[in-house]
Amino acid sequence: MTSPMALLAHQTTLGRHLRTGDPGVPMLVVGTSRDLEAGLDAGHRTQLAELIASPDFVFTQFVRQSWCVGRTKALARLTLSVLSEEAGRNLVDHWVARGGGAAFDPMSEAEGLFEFAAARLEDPSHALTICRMEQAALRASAAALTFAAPDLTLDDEALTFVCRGKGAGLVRFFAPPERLLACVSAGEPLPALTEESLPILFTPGLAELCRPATEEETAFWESLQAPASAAALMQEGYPRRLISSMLDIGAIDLSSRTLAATVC
Amino acid sequence: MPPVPAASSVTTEGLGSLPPLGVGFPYIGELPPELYRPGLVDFVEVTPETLCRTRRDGEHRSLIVVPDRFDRARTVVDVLPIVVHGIELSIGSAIGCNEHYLDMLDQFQRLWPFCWHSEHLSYQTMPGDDGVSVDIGIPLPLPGTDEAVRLVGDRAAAIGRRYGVPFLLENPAHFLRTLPYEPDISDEIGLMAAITERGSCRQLLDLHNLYCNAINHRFDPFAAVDRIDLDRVGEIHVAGGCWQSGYLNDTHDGRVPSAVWELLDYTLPRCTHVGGVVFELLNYYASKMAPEEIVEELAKARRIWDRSHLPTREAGT
Repeated sequence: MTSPMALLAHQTTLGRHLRTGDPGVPMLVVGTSRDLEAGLDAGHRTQLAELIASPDFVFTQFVRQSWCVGRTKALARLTLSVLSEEAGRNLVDHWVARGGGAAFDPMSEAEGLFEFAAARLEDPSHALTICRMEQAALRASAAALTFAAPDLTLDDEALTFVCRGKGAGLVRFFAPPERLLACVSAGEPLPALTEESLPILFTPGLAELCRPATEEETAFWESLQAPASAAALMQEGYPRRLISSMLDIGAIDLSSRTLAATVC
Repeated sequence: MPPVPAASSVTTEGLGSLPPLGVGFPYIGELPPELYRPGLVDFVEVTPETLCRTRRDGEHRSLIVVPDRFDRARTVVDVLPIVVHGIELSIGSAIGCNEHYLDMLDQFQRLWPFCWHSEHLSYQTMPGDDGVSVDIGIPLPLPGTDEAVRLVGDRAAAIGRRYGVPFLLENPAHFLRTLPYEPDISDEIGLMAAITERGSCRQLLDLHNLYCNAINHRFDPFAAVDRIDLDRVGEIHVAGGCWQSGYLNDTHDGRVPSAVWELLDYTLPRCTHVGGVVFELLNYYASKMAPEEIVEELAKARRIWDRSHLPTREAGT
């Protein structure tokens, strides 16, 4: 085992077999390149093949799986609490099967997990609302750690591009939020869905991280599907005051197109 | 800010000296602050990642200290000295260790100086399909090869220089009995010895991990202790675990089994440079253990520490 590639090949082989969770996969087939394969001598390959086929490896897979499941459950605690036991288990199992739950800090997987969950939930539903709320709250609280409102006067609207804030989200509630969350917290049946929804804005610049969005803010947020220039937005009827206030609370960010224009 | 205690006059040359602190306990935010009082514990083991949030920006990952969590930990720990016990470094990864952990630790040390720093002798990342590092999902033990010794030893030496305090590597528990070992390394004890020698660092001897491996791999833990270079041991962990599918798992989820206390009684008096004994408990299980039970485990550790005639510093001095 003297090749300089041996350790990398060893770790990649064991790691990929652990992640696939299938002890029946031939040893060096799971995405292992020829370069890696060449890093292992025959003796080492034989040892690894025996290791992967052993009950010790199967138990290691079991422990890994339980860690991944535990991390996922801890991350999406509220969302899972409003799903049936079977639906929650299916969601977690599918997420873990595609490689989720592996990060030591589960927060680093939050965006991916909540997008994965949201795509599998009925729209509209309280479960989707809770999922989006959990996602938006994590996003806003993480962004709040380093948030500073941009120093910008919007003097040159044509060169100023904005986009939805990385740390922001708008979540529609189909029941009064306090009532819905009280039911979730108490484990009580959830209220019926209302016809109208209440949009709640989550942003890193708000002291409480969220508050009901005004009609103007909601319309602006929903129209901002892609980066747009402040000038174009003002031509559409959104006032400078609104754009400035949304920037101040982190609901929208300066787009990289603004920064590129500044550099040019 | 409490002072970092002075180092012991007894040192093993080149390894950095450890102040003899006494009995320690991990900082767990969910537990009653009353557990962190001088007299009950002499020092606190802080895992800085638990006071941080991870931020991902494409492939770039960073750990950001969360002010509220950090301030609360400082308030709870108060005058007690701290040591750092990391979980995110992945020092044995051939693809590269997690530099974002070290970047965070640079900042953490400026904010809250620590007496020593430890990590696990393992790897938890590998190349993904695109060659970028991905998490495996569980820390894995290293094979016993010269390449592993060079890689980890050199990284350990660099970390020791970077922080200017002793660096310790913890022996891992694992279930893989047939890991390859080169003849001159022979087994996990030989691997730890070779790495700590090359890296001029110390060992964090986790006796529960050693006990689990002894049970699962069928060797005598006392004979294993006899083969460890105990002069290099800077800290000892004791913990509890549970049986699953015929394996003893190092879950660190409760009381310490009597066999591990016996191992501590056997080992501690022979460790000439040990700085402390820590009763390990994972955050996840903390709420499942009554504070009174934790106090009892800490008291057992103290009795053995005192029997070993090791001096205990007074907190805050």
